[in-house]
Amino acid sequence: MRLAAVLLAVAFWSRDARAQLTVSGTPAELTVGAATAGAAPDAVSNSSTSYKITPLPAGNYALTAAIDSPMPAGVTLTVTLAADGTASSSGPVALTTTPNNVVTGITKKTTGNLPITYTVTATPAAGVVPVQTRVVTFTIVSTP
Amino acid sequence: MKKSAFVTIGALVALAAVNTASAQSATQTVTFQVTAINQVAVTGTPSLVINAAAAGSAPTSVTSSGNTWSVTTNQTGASITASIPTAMPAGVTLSANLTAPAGATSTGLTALGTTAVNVVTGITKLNASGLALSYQLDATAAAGVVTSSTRVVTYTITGGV
Repeated sequence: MRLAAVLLAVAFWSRDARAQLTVSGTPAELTVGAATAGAAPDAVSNSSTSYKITPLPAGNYALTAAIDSPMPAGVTLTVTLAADGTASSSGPVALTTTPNNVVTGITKKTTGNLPITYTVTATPAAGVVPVQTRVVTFTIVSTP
Repeated sequence: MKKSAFVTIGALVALAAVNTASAQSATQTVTFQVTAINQVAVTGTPSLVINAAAAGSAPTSVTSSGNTWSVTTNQTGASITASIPTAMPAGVTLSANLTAPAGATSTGLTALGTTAVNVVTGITKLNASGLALSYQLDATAAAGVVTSSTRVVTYTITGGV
């Protein structure tokens, strides 16, 4: 019985130590539809959403991002996540199906609501691209 | 319940808690599209004066320089047309010559009228700037003396597919 109690206590301790990554909102549709004659199409951005991390056990962490399928040829989706404390933002990161760091050096246990900026760029060669979606997955990973 | 059952249950709960304590993830859905884009622009304000001739020949044509045009399209087979709002005086011809961007075709020196005419065709998925644009003014002897006047040349890009 005592052993069971100890095991249950360990279980509850582990559950309370899980980091919670929360992203708020869904960005409005990003439509590339204008250009200055002679230049590539104008990029479009959205910064209406944010993320928050609470709470982290002691240690170093990074935040990665990936999309569920490749972007159309000539179209690039980049994401920029703000960082606070001692963490560093990787700046604009082009999203692919391979997770890439978007924030590194996260040691702060809890962050505030930090902005996420998405930007879509397209070359003329991309042509007309119909409306479509990509699911962006953000993941907290422990780092050495 | 036997003590061993409690131990087993406790162990299973602990293992489950540890396994779900690994990487935490969250998702967002991003929606996007690229619509048809067709833009054309020109630079320069040319001035053309015919005032010379070789004896026995028609007046000497004059050509402008230093004008340029730029284009962006993300479609296939776009074209540029040009027109003027009112006809040129009798015996006087204004022509435009646009250098084509890569893969497109220029119609060369093309006389301008009130009906839009192609000046560049087959423009496909590109952006190009600073392309040469020249005007030529021709006059027959019968045109006589023509006082200074202006024509606004309108260039229009028609998107492809």
